[in-house]
Parts: sequence; C-alpha cells; structure tokens
Amino acid sequence: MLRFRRLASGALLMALLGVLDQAPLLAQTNLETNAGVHFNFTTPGAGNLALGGAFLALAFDASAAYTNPAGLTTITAPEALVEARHWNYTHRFTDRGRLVGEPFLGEFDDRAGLVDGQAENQVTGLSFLSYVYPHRDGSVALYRHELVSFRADFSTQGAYLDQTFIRSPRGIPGEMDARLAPLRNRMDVEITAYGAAGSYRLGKGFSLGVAVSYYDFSIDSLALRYLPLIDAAPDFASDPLLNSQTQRGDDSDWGFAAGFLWESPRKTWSLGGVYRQGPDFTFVAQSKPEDLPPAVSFRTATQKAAFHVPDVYGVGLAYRPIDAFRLAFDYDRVRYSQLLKGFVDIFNLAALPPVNPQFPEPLDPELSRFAIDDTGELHLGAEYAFLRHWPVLTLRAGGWYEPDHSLRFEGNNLGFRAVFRKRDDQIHYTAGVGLALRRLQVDAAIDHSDRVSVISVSAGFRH
Amino acid sequence: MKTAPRRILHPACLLVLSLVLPGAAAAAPANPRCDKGRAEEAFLAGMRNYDQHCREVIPRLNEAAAVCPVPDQPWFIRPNPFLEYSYLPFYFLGKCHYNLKDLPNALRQFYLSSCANEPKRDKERTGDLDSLTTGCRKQLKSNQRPNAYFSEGFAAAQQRDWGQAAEKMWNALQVFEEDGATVLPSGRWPAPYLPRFRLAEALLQLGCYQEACAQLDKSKVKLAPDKKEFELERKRMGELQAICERMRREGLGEKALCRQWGCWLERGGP
Repeated sequence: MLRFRRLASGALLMALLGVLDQAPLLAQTNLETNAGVHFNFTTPGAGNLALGGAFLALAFDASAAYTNPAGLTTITAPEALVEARHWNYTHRFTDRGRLVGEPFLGEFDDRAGLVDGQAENQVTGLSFLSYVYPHRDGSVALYRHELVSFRADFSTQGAYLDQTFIRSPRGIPGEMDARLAPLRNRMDVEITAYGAAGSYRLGKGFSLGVAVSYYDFSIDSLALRYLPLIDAAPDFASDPLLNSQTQRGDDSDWGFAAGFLWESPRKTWSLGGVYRQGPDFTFVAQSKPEDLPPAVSFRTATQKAAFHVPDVYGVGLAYRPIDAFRLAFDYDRVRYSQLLKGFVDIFNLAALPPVNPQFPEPLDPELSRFAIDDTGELHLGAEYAFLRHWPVLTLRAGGWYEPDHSLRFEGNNLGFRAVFRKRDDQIHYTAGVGLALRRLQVDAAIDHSDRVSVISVSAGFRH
Repeated sequence: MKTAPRRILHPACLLVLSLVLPGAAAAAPANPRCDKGRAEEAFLAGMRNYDQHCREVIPRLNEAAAVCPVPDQPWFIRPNPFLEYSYLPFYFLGKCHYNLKDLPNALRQFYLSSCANEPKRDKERTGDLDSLTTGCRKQLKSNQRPNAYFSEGFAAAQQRDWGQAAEKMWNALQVFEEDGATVLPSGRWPAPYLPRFRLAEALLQLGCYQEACAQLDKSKVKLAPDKKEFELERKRMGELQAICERMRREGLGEKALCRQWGCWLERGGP
C-alpha cells in the first residue's frame, strides 16, 4: 500500500510539475561509518561529466534518458551510449586527538583538538548504458545507471573526548565521555537504476519527458570496536573486540523523473529543468556485543532502518553562440535533509543496561540533533569543437560546487560531536576530450575534488 | 521550433496550382477550375481580419487560393460600395507570414505570387512585392551558425518526413548556401552542411525527380570526391544519381506538387 501511495504521489507530481529526477544520498543511522562516507551523483556520460555535469539544458545524447528525459526529442536517430567509470573515494573521518582540553593521559594523548584520518577506496564499473529510439515528435529510451557504487574501508585510532581517566568498557559511542573505541570499518553500497523514458515535442521548441526507474539497492557494512590501552595506539590484532555493528540489506523501489526542455528558434539558447524522485529502501541495522564481560554486555539490537535517496530538482541554461562552442550552467537543489527521515539509533542507547548502576537513567541518543542541510549545487561547463579536424575533436572544461552534506551532530553528546562534524564544501574541477565521427563518438573525462575523483570513458553509437 | 509539417498551401490548391503554373515565370493561362463563389467567400472572410489577425487570415486565404489560385483576369471584390479588394491570395498570404516574422513562408508565398502572375493582374497593389521579396531574402541571410533550419531538416530527414525535410533544407539554403563545412546539427554528431544535397534527396522521395536531379547536380558533394566527411553522402549520392538516370531514361511523370517546388527552386536558387 505504501509502495502504491508512493507511485501515486509520484504520478501526481509529474502531472503537476511536468518533470522528475533522481538524487544523491548518505546513510541513515548514527553509525560513525556513515559520517566518513561521501556520495554524490554526477551526470552520466563522459562528455557531460567534463562539462561539470551541466547538462539539463543540453540533454542531447542518450544519457538524457536519465538526466533530463525531455531532451530525448533532440535525438534524431537511434542512438546508444555506454560508459565506464573509475571512482576514487577519499574518506575523511575523526581519527584521533582530543575534543576537550589539553592532552594529559600519556604517550598517545599528545594532541589538543581532533585529528582527521584519511583513507581511499577505488571502484570501477560499467556505470551507464542506454538506447534511444526517436520517432517523429516523440522518443523512447531504455537505460541502466549505477547511481551509487561506493566502497569505504578505513580504521580509526580513537579520539579522546573529555578530561577523564575512565575507559568506556563497552566502547559504544555516545555512552561515556571517555576515549572513543578504535574502529575498523567496511562499507559497500550499490544502487542501480533500470529505467524507461519517453519524451514528446509539444511545439514552439518545448518538450516534456518522463522516466520511471526500478532501483536495486544493496548495503553491506561492518564496524568493529576494540578496547586498546588508554594511552596507546590500537592494536587490532590483540586488543579485545568489544562489539560490532552491521548495516545489511537488499531492497528495491520505483522512482519517477520528469523534465522539460525549451530551445530558442535559432537553437542558440536552451533551458531545461528536471525533478527526480529518490527511491526509499530499508535495511537491517544491528548492534551486538562481541567479547564483552557479562557484567557489561548487552542484548543484540536489531532494527529496521530506512535509506532515502534524496529528491533532486534543478534547472539549467545553455548558450551556443556559434556551432562549435557551448556554454552550460545548472543549478541543482538536493534534498539531503530527507536522509534523516526515519533516522535510527543503531546502538539503541536508550535500551542499554547502565554501566554504572548508580546512574540508571536511559541514555538519550538525541536523534533530533543530527542534521544534514539541503544543498544547492552549481554546475558550469563549456566545450569547443574543432570542426575542421576530422574526426571532430572537442575539448571540454568545467567545474561544480558541492556544498557540504555530511551528517553532523549538534547536540550535547561528546562522542557524537567528535564524529559527526561539518566538513568542507567541495569544488570539483572537470575536463575532458572527445572525438566524433558520423556514427561513433568516444569521450573521456575527469572530475576531481578533494573527496571524490572520477575518470570516465564513454562511447556513443548511431545507426 | 514546431516541426509538424506546415502546410504552405492547401492540398487542393497545390493540385490546381500545378495545372496553372506550367513554368515558373509563365503567364497564367485561363483557369476553368476557378470556383469564384467559394473563393470570394473565403477571401473576404480572410481580408476582414487582415489588418489585425494574420493567424486567422492565413487559413482563409489558403482556402481561397485552393479553390481559385489564378483567376482568368484581374478580379476586384467589392463587399460594399466603399470597399474594394484585389484578389491576390499569394501576395496577401506572403504579407501575413511576413508580419508574423515567418520569413521562409513569406518568401515562398511571394515567389508563388510572382509565379502566378499576380503583379501583372494588379501592378499597383503588388508594387512592393519586389522590395518585400528582397527584404525577406536579406533578412534570412546570415553567416551565423548554428543554422536551425538545417538542424530541423536533418531531423525530419532522419524521421523520413520528406515534406518537412525539403522545406527546412530550402529554408536553410536561403540562410546560408551549401558549403560542405562540418556542423553539429544534432547534439555532438557532426555532419557536413549540405542542405542542397539533402533537399535533393527529400525531393526525390517526394517524387519530384527533375527538381531533385537538378539539385543533385549542383551539390557540393560532387565537388569534393576525396573528402572523408562526405563518405556517407557520396555513397547516397551514387544511389540517388542512379535513380535520376533511370527516371530520365523512363521519363516518368511527376507529381503535381513538384511544379510548386519548381517555382521555389528557380526563384530561390543561387
């Protein structure tokens, strides 16, 4: 019934707005792993990635099936696009240091202020496939898109929180203001969209398009917490394993997207817009004791958590003063705040037995004090085609601004404050090159930022 | 840009016009098919709104031109003792399109007006026809790329909408003569700017063999036999020329619509 209501609401939205689109995400429990990961959602197609992802008002290749389905009407012959991407993720996380006061505990407690760690993971995959068939004033398309292909694998050494000699016997973050438990993390997230899109040319340069996607989701994460000596770096081989948290599940959902495109009579200006509804998934979040003494052990907490891919809406403007040169600009509003819908305390702090019986009050996970802001992304790109060169050579460059959308904590709990922190906004620099023949295009692009770098190669075919 | 085929003339008008336009500049012969009663009614219905509502005028004048494209002799219609209209449907259609800034259609109507000898029937009223025609041509001319007409014609040809393709390629030629330079008519896909060649292909598909073959002979494709960018067009050129040869040998008759194209190609040619 819930699924039906989502479908109905999506259809209504399409009817009202005449548009639809997809979105980016993060994770939806207070597990620290989720603070260190960083997802974003770039435009498919190497040629479009190189434009800083500014493609809403262009939308003239087979990637439009996903990016802005209204653009499919600009495709004049059956066309296919295939793209492979290599992602390099740089994870930044609270590694060590001290949140409150000056160091005093010994050799390892040697720094005031928190110290970030950094780790990298790489993923390579066939990220996009699509086929477009135009027919007079309409076009239809099929596509497969890897919306998220993410891997995180990193360890933390455990930052000190308050000025205390106490060790947290269970190592649960947020339970005590002692040193955070050193952590070994692993996380894999995959979201793949299989979709169909259609568009229709209404006249006066105006087109509408809609797309429906079936999203396939899987998440598999494991966090292991250890208890090191209070003034020593962790030794994961010998330190006691205290507890572990997992986030696991496979789910699927439907999502809609709709867009519009307007081209000026001389085709020098174009304006595009899209709304993309993010799918919702569920997974199982579990926290369980490992080698804890019975006196401080706790019952395994298993909960159902939600994973909301944020909705996105955006508008774009493109200018083509001469045949060989294009300039494109997009503004995308990403509703990252939706990630907090149904936010779950994976540790189930309120149900933990007290460590000190003298303080039996249940802990408050302060879920309402976790925050993620909706963000406005700015994308800008330009390309120049050397039309006297055969095959036609095209050079592209661009960039985009990605405001921080890390999960942050604004409450009193020192453990969460140390881990869930605001991070820097990101500037992405993009560049690329393309070669085009009459029935074959090959493009390559790079998108670099401090936290995610993407290398993309795509090929387009016409018949 | 609207891509649905835009009727320049009512089909019935094309049929009748084809009978009375044996040559582009030929004098209009007597026309036994002129239905003056219906023509007068439609013409007056259009002219009543002529000064204010050109969009409503165009269908009425098209209707009039369809039932009586060329009257036997100068025809003045007097709806009342104080008002007189000269029956010049193509001229007034051209001016309506011109007022609506639809220059290619205006130019086509002005050419038809000339081919249908309207200036001879009312020299005074059509005194500005030459300047309007010249003005249209000048306003359409541009070195600026992209050429939207070529893009639209290219798309129409891909969809085998040959009527639309022929019109758009003719429009493109009015803007910029065929030069074979590489352009991007669709997305990032390159293609040589060959509107004359593509017009020829469309006309051949429409059954206008004489006009198509004449355009093929003028196309730049022939002049650049080694250009890699023309590879697809050269192959297609061979196929089209073979059809032309066969048609010339067999001397097959052409469709009525082709006479109209004959007028446009002669008047609007380089």
